[in-house]
Amino acid sequence: MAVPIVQLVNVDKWFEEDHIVKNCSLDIEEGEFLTILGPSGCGKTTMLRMISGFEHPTGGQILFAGSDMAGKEPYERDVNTVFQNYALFPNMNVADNIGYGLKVKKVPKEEIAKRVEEMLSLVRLEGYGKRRINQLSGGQKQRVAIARALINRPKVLLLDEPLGALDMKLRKQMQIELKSLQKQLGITFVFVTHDQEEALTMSDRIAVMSEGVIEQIGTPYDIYMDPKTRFVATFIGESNIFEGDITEVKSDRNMVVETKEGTMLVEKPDEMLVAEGYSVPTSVVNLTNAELEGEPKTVAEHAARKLSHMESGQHISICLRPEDIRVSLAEPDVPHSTAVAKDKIFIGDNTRLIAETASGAIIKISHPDREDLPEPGERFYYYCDPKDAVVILE
Amino acid sequence: MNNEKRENSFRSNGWRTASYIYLAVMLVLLYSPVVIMIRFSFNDSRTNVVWQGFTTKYYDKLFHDANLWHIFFVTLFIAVMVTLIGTVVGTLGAVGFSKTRFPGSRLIEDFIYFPLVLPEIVLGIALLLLFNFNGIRLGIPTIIIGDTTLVLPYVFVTVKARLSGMDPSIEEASIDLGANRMYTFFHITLPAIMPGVISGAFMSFSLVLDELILTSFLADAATVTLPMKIYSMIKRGITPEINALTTIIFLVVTAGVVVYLVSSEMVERKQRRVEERRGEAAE
Amino acid sequence: MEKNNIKKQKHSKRETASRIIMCGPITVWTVLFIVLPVALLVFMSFLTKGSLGRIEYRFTLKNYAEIFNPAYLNVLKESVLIAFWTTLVTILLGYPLAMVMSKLRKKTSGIVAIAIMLPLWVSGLIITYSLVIMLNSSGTVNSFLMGLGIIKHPLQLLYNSFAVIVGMVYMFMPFAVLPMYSSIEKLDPAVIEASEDLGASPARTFFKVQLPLTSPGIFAAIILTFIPCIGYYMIADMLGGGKSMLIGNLIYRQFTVSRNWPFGAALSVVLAAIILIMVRIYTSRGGSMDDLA
Repeated sequence: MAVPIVQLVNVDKWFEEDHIVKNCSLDIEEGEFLTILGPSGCGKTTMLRMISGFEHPTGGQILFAGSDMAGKEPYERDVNTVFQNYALFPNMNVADNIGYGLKVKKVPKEEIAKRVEEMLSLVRLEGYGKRRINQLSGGQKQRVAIARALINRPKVLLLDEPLGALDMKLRKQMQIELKSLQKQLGITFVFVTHDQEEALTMSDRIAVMSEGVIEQIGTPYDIYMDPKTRFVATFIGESNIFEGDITEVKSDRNMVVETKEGTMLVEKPDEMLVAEGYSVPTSVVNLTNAELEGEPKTVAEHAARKLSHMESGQHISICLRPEDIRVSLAEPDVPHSTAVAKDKIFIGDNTRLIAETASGAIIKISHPDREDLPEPGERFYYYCDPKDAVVILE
Repeated sequence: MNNEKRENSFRSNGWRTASYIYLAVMLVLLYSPVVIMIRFSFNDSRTNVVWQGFTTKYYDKLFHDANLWHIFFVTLFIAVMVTLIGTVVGTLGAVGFSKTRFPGSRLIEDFIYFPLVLPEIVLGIALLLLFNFNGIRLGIPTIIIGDTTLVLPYVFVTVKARLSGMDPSIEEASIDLGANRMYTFFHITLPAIMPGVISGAFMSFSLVLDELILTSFLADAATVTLPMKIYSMIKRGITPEINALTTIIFLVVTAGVVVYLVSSEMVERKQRRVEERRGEAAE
Repeated sequence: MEKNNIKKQKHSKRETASRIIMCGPITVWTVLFIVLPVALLVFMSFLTKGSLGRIEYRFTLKNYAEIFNPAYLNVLKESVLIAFWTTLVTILLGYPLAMVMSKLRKKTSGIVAIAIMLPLWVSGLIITYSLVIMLNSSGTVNSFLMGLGIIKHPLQLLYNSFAVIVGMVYMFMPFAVLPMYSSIEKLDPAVIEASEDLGASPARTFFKVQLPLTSPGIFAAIILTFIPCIGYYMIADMLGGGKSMLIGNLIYRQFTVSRNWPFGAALSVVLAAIILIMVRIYTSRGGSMDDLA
């Protein structure tokens, strides 16, 4: 396996008394579109700024293609950034903005002009070179910012919530454009956002962050289908969470779980799924941090440790997506619970059912066929396919 | 559209008339001393009482006064030096303090503001003591130091105001694109805060041209600036020569101020036009 | 102790160097030419005056005790009184002016503001001098009044407290109008309309609504007038003709005629202290130092 283009190894960041990034490790592979997703204040922008060099980690290491970046200034790093509010230079026109990186490097004028033209056509702004920045619309500014960051031909492009200031329609359009631009250029994109939909649409992989910790790393599909923590399950998409204790592990890998709502049958996760999504560097570098003694060091160790907990008596959470809850008006012959329908909402391709469980909790159910669902006030049975249930061990 | 609303904001026509009259009276009061001074500078009489005919003889006399020319150049030299040092130090400081906190930086910032509120006489005496204790001879250099101390907070404040309106990430964008800090300062930060720097410099220059108290404390017997000269002339009595001299200074500086204001207004208007065009383009 | 190490902010060396270049000069300047001189001033105020204006390095509180001499207390009282009257007149004349300006078109009010500031911006000294011409016994005001037959003999307008207050008002009103103008400008007209809609008379609306809401501007104007008034000695010198002795003039004398530097230093310290306390009150009530420039 090739050396990852960017590696964060046990990175810590303190601002005075605040622990912003907590022992985070992350490998970014060449050519991938990686999104760091999390609510505001989770440390995702700080993470990006440590990669670009505007912040320095208080602990741990950042490696570019294997070499340590400690003490390297932002202008010495082979990455460029697209800033949140574009940060275009107001005193320069579009062409001067885009050509700035080359002008700094004292590239000959003709060469700069040539490459600026290339960039303008790449972001579909031909003929805009002489425009002043305040004559541009938001979307155009965005393109100039991208062109400006790409002209230096960086190995990695960092994007800090670049679509945040755009309206919905433009945003969707830019999402598609960014993704195709990334494919066309083959450059690694590290994209920071708090918008889960944006992350799911564009990314090859998503790293979900919360309170300074990387909760899970994986493909959009894995993140959505197999959340590893309660935070991931609730932050991305909608989830119904049931808590309970394992009472029995059957030979067919199904586990019987006793929850407040009733008995549920769920499948024991297999080793492979457990292993994915852990923020342990695949190539473990320089693990000398004393705090890590006794902690699992490899993905396999993590998986083994987690699986070993899946036995009777263990308290777990079960995450069920609204579309994974099965509804029946007649009593089914599998373990099930009951609820009372409260509201039935038609939302186009789906119908949404809001129901109250026996213990008074609210669950959300989504079903394609309106006719199959109970009417408000009606009592009904619900259960799940053991394969659909996601087990979360906290 | 806002203007129409404001035009109707007078309670009634009576109020409006009264308001305009008040405004006119205040302006007449503010300007009458200067107008009278200018008028008497052309009066062919040694007293200011009666008009005895138009003359420019006091002006002729002034223009041929070699000593006065010397004083004028000394004053100009001091003003230019103070403006240069004050603008550079104040601008660097405003930029530096906007992004750095070090132990005691808060306190230093408070002290930078000191000359804004401290009476000039107190600052003048304090500096006089400093030079005295260290055996430094008074003269043009000590005046330059004193006046610079006085103008520093003005530059600091105007540049700071400009900085707070600037997007700090444009500096980061420049560094991110490969420019070092020095390149970034000269190519990105400085152009962005230039209007603040210029108005700070302008303020410094006009302050120093009119500076009397601090200067007289820090000058040696041989050094005289224009305000000091005028002051000592006034103390000896009102003469048509002073009228002429102050008239010249007043008119020249007024012209300077007006040119400055008009030119900065023009720059602003140009910017506004560009923004309007952009608004149309967006629609 | 490990944790402390971790928490320490790491800056790159070059970043630190660039910050030293930025903050260094102004810091050094401030320490050398503001902090040190002020410290010396305080130091000097505790020294003893020797014969022939020499300074003896003997600690004493006598300089401060001397301020309580009735003659000097009188000067202090006079200074504060003049500053008080000046501030009062300034606010009474300036507030209506600010109100009128706020009713004009934005552009016009900008021009009016510049017109008000212009003479002072150009030269306070020259304005003060022209007032001397205007107020003197054979001056314009007297000839005008006598020409109209209102008075028979010239009035003594110059070289008294009246002249000093007139001069001070000329000097500080333009600066005081601006903060009042901007606070009236920011006032939401709907608030005034609401008050009148609810049946309050215009006078009641003015005193109960507009005045309280624009009080920060008035407060800034008071600070901008009162503070410089106490220390400014030139106006008293030129328009008061030396008869009107203010604390500024008293200090000035200690360093010129009387050659009593320690006492002058003590007076300066007291003056500075009064002013800094006022500024402190101003900033602690939300005023910004930047607005005083």
